[in-house]
Amino acid sequence: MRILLVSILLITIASGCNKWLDAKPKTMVESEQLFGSEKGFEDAMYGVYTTMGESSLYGEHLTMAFLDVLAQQYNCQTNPSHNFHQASMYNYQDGAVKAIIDNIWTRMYYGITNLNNVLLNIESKKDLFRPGNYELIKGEAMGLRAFMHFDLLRLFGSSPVSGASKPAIPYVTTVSGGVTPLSTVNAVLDSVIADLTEASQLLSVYKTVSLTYYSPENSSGNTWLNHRQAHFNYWAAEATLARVYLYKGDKQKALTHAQNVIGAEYFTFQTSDRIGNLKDYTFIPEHIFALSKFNIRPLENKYFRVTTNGANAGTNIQLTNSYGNGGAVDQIYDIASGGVSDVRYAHLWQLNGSVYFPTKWWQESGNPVYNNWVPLIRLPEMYYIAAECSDPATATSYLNLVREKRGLPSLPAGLDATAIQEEIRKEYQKEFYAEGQLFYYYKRLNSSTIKFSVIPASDQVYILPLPDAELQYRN
Amino acid sequence: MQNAALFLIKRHKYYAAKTSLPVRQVLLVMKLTVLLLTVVFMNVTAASFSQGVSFNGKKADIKSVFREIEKQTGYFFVYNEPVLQNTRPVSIKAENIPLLEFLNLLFKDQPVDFMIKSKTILLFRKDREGLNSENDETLLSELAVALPITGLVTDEKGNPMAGATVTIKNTKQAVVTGADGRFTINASPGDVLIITFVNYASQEVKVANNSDTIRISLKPIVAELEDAVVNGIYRRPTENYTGSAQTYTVEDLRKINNTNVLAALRSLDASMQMPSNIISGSDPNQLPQIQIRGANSIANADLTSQYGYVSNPPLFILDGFEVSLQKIYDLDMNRVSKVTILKDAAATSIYGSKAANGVLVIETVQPKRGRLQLDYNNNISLSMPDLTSYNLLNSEQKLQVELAAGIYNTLPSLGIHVQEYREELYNKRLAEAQRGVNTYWLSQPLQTAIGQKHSIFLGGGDEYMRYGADVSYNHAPGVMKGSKRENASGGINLLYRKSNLQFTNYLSVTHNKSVNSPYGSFSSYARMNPYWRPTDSVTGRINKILQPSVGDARWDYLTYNPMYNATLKTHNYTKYLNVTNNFQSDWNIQPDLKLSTRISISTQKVDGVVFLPADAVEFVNTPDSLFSTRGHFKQTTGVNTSYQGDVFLNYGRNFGLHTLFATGGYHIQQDRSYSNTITVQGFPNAEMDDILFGLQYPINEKPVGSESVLRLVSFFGNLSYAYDYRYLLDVSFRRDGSSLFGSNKHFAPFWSVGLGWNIHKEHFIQVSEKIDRLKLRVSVGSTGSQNFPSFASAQTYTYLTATRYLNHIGAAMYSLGNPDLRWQQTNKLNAGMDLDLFNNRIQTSFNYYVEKTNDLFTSINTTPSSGFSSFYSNLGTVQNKGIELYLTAFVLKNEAKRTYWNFYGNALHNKNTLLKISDALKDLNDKAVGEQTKTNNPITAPVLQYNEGQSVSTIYAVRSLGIDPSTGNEIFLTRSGEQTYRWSPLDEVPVGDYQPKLSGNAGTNFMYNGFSVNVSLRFELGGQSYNRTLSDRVENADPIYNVDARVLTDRWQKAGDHAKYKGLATIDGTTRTDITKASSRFVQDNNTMYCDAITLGYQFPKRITERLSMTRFQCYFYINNPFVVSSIKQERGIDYPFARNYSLSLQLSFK
Repeated sequence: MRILLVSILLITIASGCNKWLDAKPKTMVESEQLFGSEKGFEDAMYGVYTTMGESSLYGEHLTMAFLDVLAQQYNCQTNPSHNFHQASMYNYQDGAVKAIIDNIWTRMYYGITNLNNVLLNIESKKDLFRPGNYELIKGEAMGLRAFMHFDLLRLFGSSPVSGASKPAIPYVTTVSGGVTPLSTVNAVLDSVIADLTEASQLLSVYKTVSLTYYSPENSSGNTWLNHRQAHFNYWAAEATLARVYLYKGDKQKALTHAQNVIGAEYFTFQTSDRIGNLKDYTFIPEHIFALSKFNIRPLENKYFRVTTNGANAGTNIQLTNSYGNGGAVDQIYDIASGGVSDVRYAHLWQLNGSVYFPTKWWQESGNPVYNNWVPLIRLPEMYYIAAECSDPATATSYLNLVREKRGLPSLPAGLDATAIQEEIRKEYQKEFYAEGQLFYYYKRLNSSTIKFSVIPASDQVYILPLPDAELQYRN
Repeated sequence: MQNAALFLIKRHKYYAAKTSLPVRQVLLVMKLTVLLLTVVFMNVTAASFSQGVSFNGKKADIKSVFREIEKQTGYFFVYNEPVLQNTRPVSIKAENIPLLEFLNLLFKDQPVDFMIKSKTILLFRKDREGLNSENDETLLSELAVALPITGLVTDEKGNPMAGATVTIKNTKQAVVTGADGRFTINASPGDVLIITFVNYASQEVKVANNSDTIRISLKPIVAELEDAVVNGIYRRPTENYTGSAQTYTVEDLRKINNTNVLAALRSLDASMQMPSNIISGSDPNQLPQIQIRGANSIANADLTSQYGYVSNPPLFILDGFEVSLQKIYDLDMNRVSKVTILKDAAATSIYGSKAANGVLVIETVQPKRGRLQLDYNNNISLSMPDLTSYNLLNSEQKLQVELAAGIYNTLPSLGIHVQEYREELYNKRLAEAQRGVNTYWLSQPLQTAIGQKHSIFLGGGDEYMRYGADVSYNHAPGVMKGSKRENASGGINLLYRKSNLQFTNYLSVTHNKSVNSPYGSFSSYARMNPYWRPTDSVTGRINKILQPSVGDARWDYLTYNPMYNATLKTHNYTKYLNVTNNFQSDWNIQPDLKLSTRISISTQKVDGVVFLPADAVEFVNTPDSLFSTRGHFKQTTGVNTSYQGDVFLNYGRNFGLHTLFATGGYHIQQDRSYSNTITVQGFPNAEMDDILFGLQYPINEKPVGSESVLRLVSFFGNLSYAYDYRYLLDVSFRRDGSSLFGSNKHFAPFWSVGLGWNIHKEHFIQVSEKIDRLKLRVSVGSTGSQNFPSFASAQTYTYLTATRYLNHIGAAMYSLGNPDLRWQQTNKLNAGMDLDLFNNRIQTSFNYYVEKTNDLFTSINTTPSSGFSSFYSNLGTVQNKGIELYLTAFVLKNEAKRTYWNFYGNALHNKNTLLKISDALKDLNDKAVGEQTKTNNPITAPVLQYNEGQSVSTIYAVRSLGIDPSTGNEIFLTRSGEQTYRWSPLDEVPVGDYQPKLSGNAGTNFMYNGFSVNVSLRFELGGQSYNRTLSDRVENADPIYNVDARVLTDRWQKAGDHAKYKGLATIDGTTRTDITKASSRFVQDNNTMYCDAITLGYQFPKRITERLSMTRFQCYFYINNPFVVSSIKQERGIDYPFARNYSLSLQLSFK
């Protein structure tokens, strides 16, 4: 009898211990638990956005640093001891350069795996979401997956002009640790377009974009609807489709999607008031999709100022170009032929110490709402795409619209297609200074020259090598 | 020994007597026999044997007649086999005739006669009637018989106990008590009976000359069971145990060290490996690295550490509960009663997933019944720095080296003023040296430290209630000024017994403060040039700057005085407060069945502070614009809490010759830890030494910390069976459920089976009487390792708390997860033998073991496009094979005169082999090699590398042919055997192994009339070591700082020199700045003997202690670490010097 009692006692204590054993540290959580609530899906998506904002990705190298070094926006080629000199010489086998490239690859795919995990789990959890959020989260995940693969393709694949059917990168849609085979450039583009198209459909349930933290339309307390600019929103999907179709060479479709975005009521051009008063250097009203990066200040100090913490950061780290006296910056902004009125020249270049620096990344606003933004797609690009996909006359009007907003005189009428294309290049160079878009422009056209580069451009320049580990463990 | 001459009979079994006896023993036997016989004959005449016997048989074997009589009368026949020679079959028909008459009838025509004593019928031959024939051995052997003794075994209350075992000591004869608790056994006066019963303390009773019924009352075991193996969950008699375990009592430990349990154990057991830490020396705040037997998993931590392979700490169990290494390190040794090291599967598998690296079980002292008793232990110790391994240059020698290294030479292109400046600098230094400035920097931060320790234990109580209280204080300063470890602890132990219930509660509080020296690292003193003055010659104050920098040239470098910070108010300490409460209840449901419940709650609060004011030398370079960042205060706060609970049933019973023990139970545990660190900057005033006075937080920094929780649920069982104490079987099982495992597979099983054979108890084999114990045992089983990150099996997300997105904290994947992942299991095989000889004068034990971890837990590389560059999997095999040998020999053993002299020695040979490793581990090699080739601070020593067929502690270096006499450059051998001047990590091959081939201990204890002497030595033989002193302080010595004296004598200087080390300057006279990396030149055989302790003791005799109303008065004098003899000459104690300890200890017990 006593033994029986004891046994019962033992069994009672022991039961239910499986659940008890699920304890995890507060900062760690198992997937199953995370994806047990809508908030978990949101957290996972915020995690991806945070990852994209890392220094190895859009937070530094895919925007202000490495990519614009490759596009020769800075004078690294002329300074052999500059930290980015080897990168600017396209010496991709150099240890430091290789490390940057490997990191871009690794972290991009890490982000993609995170997205795939969201997509893998969301289908069976449809019931968890408030109305619309399932579509938005799934749409954002699919859209970002396409967006990131597209940028990987633009870095590691051949230009569609030179090798549309060459194997490029793997298009990863699983979470397994297994190896995904390499797809050709065209196949990747098709996958990107398929994902973006579906994303666009899903995201169309909520097209409102606001630049404030709280969307005026959002009275339900659904935080996912706040600050849609910092999410991969419907317009971001459309704008990316425009980018992708143009990259693929399908100008018809590119134009349609670009026009769709241009027609949206949510985006307006930046005014010089905002630049001067609010110190809004990234032109927030033009953001179709931007990342919020926690604390850009250290990067600003590192690259775009003479001093950091009182110690000289050294000219081998600074990212700038020769300003004034007809230097590279003056050439970019056509100072010799009336470019001096360009607000981008007037406001986005300032003296620090004795050096002129681009101020795009300066975090000067007294209101933190205007600081810490990493723009990934901005409105002018849609005009440039539309221009590139239109006949010269229409193209001129698209370009003139942007020029007007930037304080530049209109282009003369009657420019031919080549001249238009040259104007578009200039615009990319001016508009996206330190934003990492120019390199893709050259690559898309497989341009044999890169402005200010002493090295002729070719596949050796345009195609970054895959990391050794990627090739080694691919067998 | 007289038993050896007796032939003994138990029922129908009989044994041939041993015939070869030494003469002296024979005489002794004879005297006894004569005495016995006298008694026998007296009894025969007095007794009347009227009991009736019936027998009807024709040509019956005489032995069958004996059996019949025994059956009918209860009398036994006692005889020696030769007595029955030539007996004839008998034909008798008898109907209920008296026994005596029957026997007369039976033996009438036989060559045998008889006599009767008590209930025994003694037989002897008729042709040997002359009882006075003195030297007739045959007769003696025939008659030297044991007599039946009867007895009664009861429990404490007088109830008879059935099934108790009564054994005659040093024989195989044993009987079991009947239902009435009575027994009958044939024993001679002087024999010692051992009465044993499961869960009761065994008793020994000496048989008196004419004893009547012996009454024995057994007491149940409460805490102490002598000669038992204790593993924290259950106790088993050593005799029945099949596992490999070594037990040491506090007395054993005390012979070596009175304060440090771990250091004492290291000197006692070779399988416990605790390498002397060459880096941190005798730093009292540095916890040791411990490993039992070999390494069962791979160190992922520090690839460049010399002892990086020692990364497999055992599990520590204190009074049944898991505790941290720190708890054992800070444990007051006077509270310890016994330490058991569990090694093989049979011993450890009851601890399942944490047992792969062995288990250290520590039992503490429990209060005893009786009057109030007061124990006081005192220890005063003197630590003196041991700098014998240092051999540095004096001022003049140093300047000689500087000249030889050419550091004052300049290139003509730099101009004459540079040359003049350097000459001036040299002359200034020379002038100082000639003025007699020759600072012995090594001694500057050091002191002779006097430590003290007091501990008081009060205990007593009665049958129902017992109590104990302990208080201890330990002040252990280190030999570096200002460093110390201070420990104060107290505890209250209460024990309450009522009928079959017992409750025990122990509450303890420990406060510890570990202070690090403000003088910083000892290594910075070893490199200070002797011609520098530490103090201002006029004011006598400590200089802040020893040498100002004028230019940025290499020979004119800014040097701070490492002593300067000690003049400021700085803090660098950690303290903790630990409160632990252990509660246990035992319920004796039945005499053989006990239910125990234990609960332990422990919480530890940790505080750490590092404070440096603005004036500290660290901030000299901080510009004035950032004055508010000068000085910092780092505060760490942490809390660790642990709950552990056990419920288990213990069963133990004898069924005739079968002995069965069983234990089954349930364990539950939760460990939670949390810590955070806050840094504040700007402390212009050293007196403002509180975090509140800081000026600001560091820009862009936030509080950092960690948080973890671990839960464990286990079911365990053990069954131990013995047949006649001869054949032993042990089966253990444990099922561990841990929050470390993925949610689908929280549980993992572990098991073991052990077999044993007590040959010395065997009946059919002739076992020499010289053998007291001969036991063979073998065990197999599986255990697990603790080092399993929780994210490895389950797909896990981590919150990105260091950053944010908009105003949200995102979560990102931390691990891919591998649902197929298994717990790392170590399969262990152990075969052993225990052999005790010559009345336990020689005790030996031998073990052979193979421990194989098949599914080594390692990471597997994959394509980064899968999102992760690696994931965890079970791949790889590591194996440890080894033998252990233990030997204790008593040269003198005289209990009456309290005289002993013994020698002990034990040795371990362990061979570690990596049988299979993963690609990721191979990649780790590349990473490690990369550490040697990077341009910034390359590692000059070998790095740990892993290769199949080698061990985890193999040393990899490039083979060297020595220094080329013509150039002073080193000649290397490439992997393919070609000579080259170029060093390349690709040419690194195995050139040695850190792990010794043989390690062990040896020592002796001598005790005479209260005086005792103990010497204990420890040795490591057959291993290799990379001599960092030769590589860093001779070969790569930086001539601008002070260096080893061998720089002056052993380095190449000019063409033709046959030197051991490369030139100070190149052949053209410029200072050499090239760095020599891992070269076989510095790999030396490491044969080292450490003298761990020389101990003198005296125990005051009883007449003195009685007068002082004391029960014990003992004092010890210890010399710890008096000397080291080594085949390697290198600096020991780099960051903190080693020390010799002298301590005096008093141990008093008052009634």
